[in-house]
Amino acid sequence: MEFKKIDELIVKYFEADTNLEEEKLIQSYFQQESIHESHKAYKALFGGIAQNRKLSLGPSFDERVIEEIKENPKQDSDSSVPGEGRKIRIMPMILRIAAMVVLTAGLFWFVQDNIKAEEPDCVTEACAEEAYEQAKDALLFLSTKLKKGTDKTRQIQKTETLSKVFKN
Amino acid sequence: MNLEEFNVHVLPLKNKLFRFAQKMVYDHSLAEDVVQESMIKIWKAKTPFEDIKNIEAWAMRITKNVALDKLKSKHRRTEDLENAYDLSTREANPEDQAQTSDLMEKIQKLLEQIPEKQKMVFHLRDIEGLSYKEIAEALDMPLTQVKTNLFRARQYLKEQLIKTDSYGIQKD
Repeated sequence: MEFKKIDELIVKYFEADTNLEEEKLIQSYFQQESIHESHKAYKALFGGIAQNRKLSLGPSFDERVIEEIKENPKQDSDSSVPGEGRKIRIMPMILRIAAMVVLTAGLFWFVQDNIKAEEPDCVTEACAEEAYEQAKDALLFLSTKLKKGTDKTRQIQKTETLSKVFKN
Repeated sequence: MNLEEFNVHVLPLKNKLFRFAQKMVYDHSLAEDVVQESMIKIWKAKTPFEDIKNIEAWAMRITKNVALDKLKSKHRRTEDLENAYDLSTREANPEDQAQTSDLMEKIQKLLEQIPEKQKMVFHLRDIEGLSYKEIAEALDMPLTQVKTNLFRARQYLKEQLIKTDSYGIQKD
């Protein structure tokens, strides 16, 4: 190969500007016996790359894998398989949020309904106080449940963030 | 994925996956375990085969995840270069073996000095010949970062190779 052309390609290679075809040309140039003096420093790199490509597993590997596959039927999704783990994590979170909304709406409706139902009979001061206490209890219960739900959602988000950091 | 698809599309990737795993765990037997486990995960995956855009990049990504899990769980990161070279030199004559080991060792030692991401990108591009897009998919990394990491890795190697003479002696 012409010195000027290969020299330009080598410069492009170290700038990470070469395409795969050009990189193949560089590889084959360095496999030749005679290379230009100014390129000799890089011979070890391309020789090392070529040797690394020859690393391989023995033929018994295939048999072992096939045997294990036959013993292992397809099972649940796996988080280390891209696109599968996320579905498992996201679904329960959506369900949790939906359950929280339903619970909140249900409790609100129940409390409102009870207050309204008791209103016509509630003429004494004691009765009004009792209704007030009941409403207070119901709202306290509601706020406890909401806090619990929010905490859990935060925990899930924190765990997902951490696992993303470790994966990267 | 059925057994035939697995045999045709996945099993032939074993050596690429092995070399990639080897670069991450630095241990021949552990790398072999990583590939075997990755193959089983690919087999068990529920993702329909036709939905996988690039089987090679997908398999590389699974291998990377399994290797990281292994490293995390076992806290192993041995630098047993001897094991790696045994495989590559199996069929070479003694003279070639010496030269091969020398070259591989030299590159291996240089690669050990660069950050993990640069090392993985360099390996997938220069040893396995993956496109930038495939590397981005395999490593879950933006294309711009792939190119930046490759540029840095190659620049570092260039500088070190210029500094070192052909016998591996530091000039300065």
